[in-house]
Amino acid sequence: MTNFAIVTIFTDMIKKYIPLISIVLLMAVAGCSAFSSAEKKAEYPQQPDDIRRNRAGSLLGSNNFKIFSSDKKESEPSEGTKSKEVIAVNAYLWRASLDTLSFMPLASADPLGGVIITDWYENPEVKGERFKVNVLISDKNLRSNAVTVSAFKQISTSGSWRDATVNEKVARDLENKILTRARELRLEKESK
Amino acid sequence: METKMKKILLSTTAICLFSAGVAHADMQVISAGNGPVITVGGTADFQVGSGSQESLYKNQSSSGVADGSKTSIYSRELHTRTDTNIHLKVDGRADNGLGYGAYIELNADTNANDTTANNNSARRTYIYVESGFGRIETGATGDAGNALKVGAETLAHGTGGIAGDFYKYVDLANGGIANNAKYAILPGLPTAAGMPGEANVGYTAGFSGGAGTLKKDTHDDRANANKISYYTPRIDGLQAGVSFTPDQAEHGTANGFTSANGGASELGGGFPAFIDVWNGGVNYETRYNDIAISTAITGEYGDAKDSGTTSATIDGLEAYSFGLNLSYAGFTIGGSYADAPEFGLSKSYNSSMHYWTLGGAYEFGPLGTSITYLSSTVKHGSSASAPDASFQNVSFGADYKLAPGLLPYLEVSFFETDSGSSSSSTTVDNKGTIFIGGTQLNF
Repeated sequence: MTNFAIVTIFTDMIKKYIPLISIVLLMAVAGCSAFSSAEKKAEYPQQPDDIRRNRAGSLLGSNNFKIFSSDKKESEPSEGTKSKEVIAVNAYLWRASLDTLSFMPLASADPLGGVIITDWYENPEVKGERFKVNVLISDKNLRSNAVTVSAFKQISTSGSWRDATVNEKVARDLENKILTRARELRLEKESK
Repeated sequence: METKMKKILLSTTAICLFSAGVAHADMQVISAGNGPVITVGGTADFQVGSGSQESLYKNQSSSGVADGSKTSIYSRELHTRTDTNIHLKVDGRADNGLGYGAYIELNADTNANDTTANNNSARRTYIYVESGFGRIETGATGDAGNALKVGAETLAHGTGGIAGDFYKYVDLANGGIANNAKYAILPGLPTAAGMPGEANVGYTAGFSGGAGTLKKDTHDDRANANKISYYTPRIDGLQAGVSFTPDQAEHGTANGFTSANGGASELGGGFPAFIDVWNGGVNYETRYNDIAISTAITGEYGDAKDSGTTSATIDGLEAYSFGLNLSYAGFTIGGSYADAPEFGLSKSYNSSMHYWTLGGAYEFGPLGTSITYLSSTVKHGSSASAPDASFQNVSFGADYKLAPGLLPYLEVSFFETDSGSSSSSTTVDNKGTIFIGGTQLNF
């Protein structure tokens, strides 16, 4: 009974100061958060049901099924990017560019900078002239002005290659083909 | 005066919880870079269980009479059950470091074993706010003591061993048969584990138990009653938490508001709900020479409802537990001891309950195995209509993480009850074996 009496007295004291204690706790949690922004996120205990559930992991792995996120840092870096791909520009435009220029040898491709540079390519059916293409993707969104194509032409003269003027229409046609292909890719993904 | 103070507490808490965020919003706009993230997930668990027990219990009537009528659910040994939940998580972090969010867990099975007595479709719903100085949770969720506890039940595999689903397949309420014997069949303080005799009571049964036609976890209502909890950060391995539950019969909104006097049988199945319940614990984790040590002390205290008559006759709530687990190279051993001097029975009974657990587990890659043991005793004074009753259970469990989120499991439990009846005691005691196999899918 002695223990009971002690607990009763202690509990009565606590009950009297419940509002004050609760307010102080809440104020402390909220008011002192300004000092915690640089701290590591604290771990808090879970209920036994959650612990057992978490032991199985998740079908989605570390990629939770987010139905809404206003955190741009957590959202995908660019439209159409798969979860583990590192592409800093619009992925549809990137893939469309590679698809469109697949008949030409690539000299370099930088997905972070959004730059594709082909090597010189001579059409086997049209000897004596060769082309080189630079593609620049400048936006994370699929927009018509997000891709810029520069085309270069050389003509073989007396065994050496000399630069020649290339019709502007070549670059514009390539841009249109890339944009069309990008839209096709996006439609394919959205229809899945 | 106390009532007025309680009103101030609850209304102030609700206001402060939101003003905490608003105050900082005035100072700093929550940037789009730290806005809330809403995540959908859930669990689907399909289980097949088979429980063998003494024929007296197997062949009883649906109202718990040992008449051999086989109208109770125990007349068949093989049953299937599903436990499916969908949860929504909202998590955000303000520029000043304040974390906030909510958790909503919805039952997808709303007319089967794992619902509350009122078929609640929302099992747990709460809001949280956290910073470097701690975390506050408000709503219908578990208490701090249950989250911080340590013991054999916290290392079990399968469905949870001695804290798992074994009791859903055999009659461990059996008050009607065994002279109102009350068994403490699950480890944990009474709020989380249920009062002796409460867990898995048939829906149509009263305080004396019975087989019923449906299996309801009435203690789930109590465990997830509306409450306010506070957790400290873990500092040098030490973490504490405290929960305050004004009324254990108020869970979300499905139960509605309750009266000042719920009586001795307020929750479904005829068990009391306590008021002004304080629950808390201290947990300590450390590592010594590659041995991980985890220990905790938890306790809870509450009052019986006051009608002018019932409070004079019903015990309040008072219980304590201590647990210790040690882990090394994939092996874990641990145990716990709990004592509950009061748990809502008649004061004249002078009842008390204690249990102890012991267990071991081994994890190797995706495979986990465990063996856990529980021994409990419920004692009553001479005026009680129920005799002293003891319960023992040893459970072997295993699970294998077949793929991310896919966890098949097996479990076998051997249980034995001792009703304490003096005459023909062997005919009212129960013992048997429960086999469970299933698969849990998380997403």
